[in-house]
Amino acid sequence: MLVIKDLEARIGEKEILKGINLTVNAGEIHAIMGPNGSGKSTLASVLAGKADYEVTAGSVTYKGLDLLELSPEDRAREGVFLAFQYPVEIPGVTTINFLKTAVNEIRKYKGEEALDAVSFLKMMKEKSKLVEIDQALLSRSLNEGFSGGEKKRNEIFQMAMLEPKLAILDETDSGLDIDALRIVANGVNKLRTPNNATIVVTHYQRLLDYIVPDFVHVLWNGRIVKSGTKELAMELEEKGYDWVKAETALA
Amino acid sequence: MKINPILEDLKVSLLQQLGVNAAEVAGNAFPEIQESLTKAASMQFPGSKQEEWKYSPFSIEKEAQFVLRQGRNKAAVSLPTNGLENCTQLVFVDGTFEPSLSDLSEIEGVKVQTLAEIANPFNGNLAGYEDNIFTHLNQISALSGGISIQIAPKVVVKKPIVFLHLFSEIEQSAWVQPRVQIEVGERAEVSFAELWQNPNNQALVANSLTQIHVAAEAIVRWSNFENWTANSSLINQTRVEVAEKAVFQHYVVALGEGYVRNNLEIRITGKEGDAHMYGLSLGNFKFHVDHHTFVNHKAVNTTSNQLYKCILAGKSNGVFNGKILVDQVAQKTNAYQSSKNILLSADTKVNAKPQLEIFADDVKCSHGATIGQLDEEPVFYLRSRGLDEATAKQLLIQAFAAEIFEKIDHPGLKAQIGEKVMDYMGKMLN
Repeated sequence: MLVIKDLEARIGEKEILKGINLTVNAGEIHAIMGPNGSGKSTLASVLAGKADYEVTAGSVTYKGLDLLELSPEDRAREGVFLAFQYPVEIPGVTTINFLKTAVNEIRKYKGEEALDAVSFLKMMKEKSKLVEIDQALLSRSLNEGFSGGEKKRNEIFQMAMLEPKLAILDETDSGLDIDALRIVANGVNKLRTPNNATIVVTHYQRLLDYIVPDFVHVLWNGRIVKSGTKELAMELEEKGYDWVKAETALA
Repeated sequence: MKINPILEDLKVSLLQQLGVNAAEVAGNAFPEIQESLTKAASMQFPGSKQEEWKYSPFSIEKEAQFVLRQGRNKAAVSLPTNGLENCTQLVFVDGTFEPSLSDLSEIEGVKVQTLAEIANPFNGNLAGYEDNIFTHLNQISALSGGISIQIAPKVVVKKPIVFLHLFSEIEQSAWVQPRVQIEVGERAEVSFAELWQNPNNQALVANSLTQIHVAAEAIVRWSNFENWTANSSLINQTRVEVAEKAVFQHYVVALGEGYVRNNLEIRITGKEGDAHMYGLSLGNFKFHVDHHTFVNHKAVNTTSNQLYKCILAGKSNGVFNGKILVDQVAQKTNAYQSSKNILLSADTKVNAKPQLEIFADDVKCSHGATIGQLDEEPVFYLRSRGLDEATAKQLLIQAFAAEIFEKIDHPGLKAQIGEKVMDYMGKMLN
């Protein structure tokens, strides 16, 4: 589904990604772990098409398409979803309001008919149950005055509504208490199918107790320096990132 | 001061056209008209050297010939069919009140008369307000087309009173001077709206003056929709006196092309008087739009609150000049003012000038201005959900604007204005 080859990217003069290689197949969950500043969020942002980053080398192929050539909106319409680490607050725009537009833009792109108001509300009701989000929240200005947990739940709610093929969760666990973490993880697990894939970007192993990954990759200094299965995450939890850094330095 | 010959010629021509008429209508009976004739003759149209007009100097096309429009002229216009439901519509054609197109059915406690009909038309004189040539020019012709509205004490007027301004087509440029004087009695409650549209793109200058007295404990809501056109100027002066415990709320939405200058002057003369002012400007093409406000707190425990938003595209210009003056006696005043501006293109310009002059020592006053582009972060967020860039921006701008025009209390009016706002915004982003 997704093949990243020798991807290099920078912001301004600063090189952040220095040759990423990663292949994600349908049905898989990949965890990308690493210390702060290793390039995890940059990778997530580059995949979503954020303009701040300049890709200087490498390629990203998604469903056979050159992902880097697509606008952010076309990536979304092709099924890429980024759950933001810091979801923005937008006064005056309600979640319902913009999601209705988003859902129908995506349907239009796929050549499907727009959802009428009744079907949309029905879908919203179902999906909001899935992530245990209060419907009243969805009629309020997007993220304005939301708690950290509410913001992240809203991200997963949007993911449920947009039904992506490839979901990228950027530090979705940060700032969550254990109950919110469980709810968010439950949502992600329920949305899992053999046809979609998830990339979970996280600093801590904690989230991976709830969202069990098929593969774990350690990102450090702009490269994936170690890959393994979920046991690698446990090992990292135990030994810390210094262990990987030391190992990489030796190699 | 250097005299602009084109504007000087205009003034001479207007005074010639006005002088005759004023003599005919009033028989020079009113010293106020005489005074305005004298003053107008000695004053000039304000240019960039005048402090209050420096961001919006008045100008006309060099070759424009202005015909002062006075007297009734209804044959030349037709009433728009998309009339507002549940409103009392008062129609002005070329600045002159037109009874035959207006709804004059008896409304309990509401008295509409022409200024020529009443004994003391200039009750509530011009002293203390900005002394400019537009005011005096308007004053000279007040009796030929202006109206007076009186709302009796304790009357709650259910239907909004709407001033609909229409313009007939002529070959030359038109100079029109609507005039409205309003007295709202104690504890009365009423909504007004003024609609400025020029669908035939008639070249014109509309020089409008409205004076409102809000008596004690009365509530007045005022909406103003200015959908203006190229080759046209609107100088819209509104002067309000707010008495004890009275409330005055003013909403203005301005969009289109051409030149619009709003002078809103409010004096809060009674204790616990309250004034709220909200403005939204949408600029595109070469539209020049200026909201000039002056709030004078003249009594204790008074409140004023101003929020003006401006979104500019194309080569448009926006101005917000807001002055708050707190007299020494006006202790415990609360006065707030905010100007927020979004520039969508590099060729746009905003001048925001807040001014506070405070002579009382126990007051809460604040002002602020922001000018910037549309934030990238929310745009990217919405695009990452599948909205294209233009739709994302439109959604964000709508949200920015909604805070103002959502406040318009009449549903029909809000819908009509809302439609025009959406339409215009769509063009701003293309």
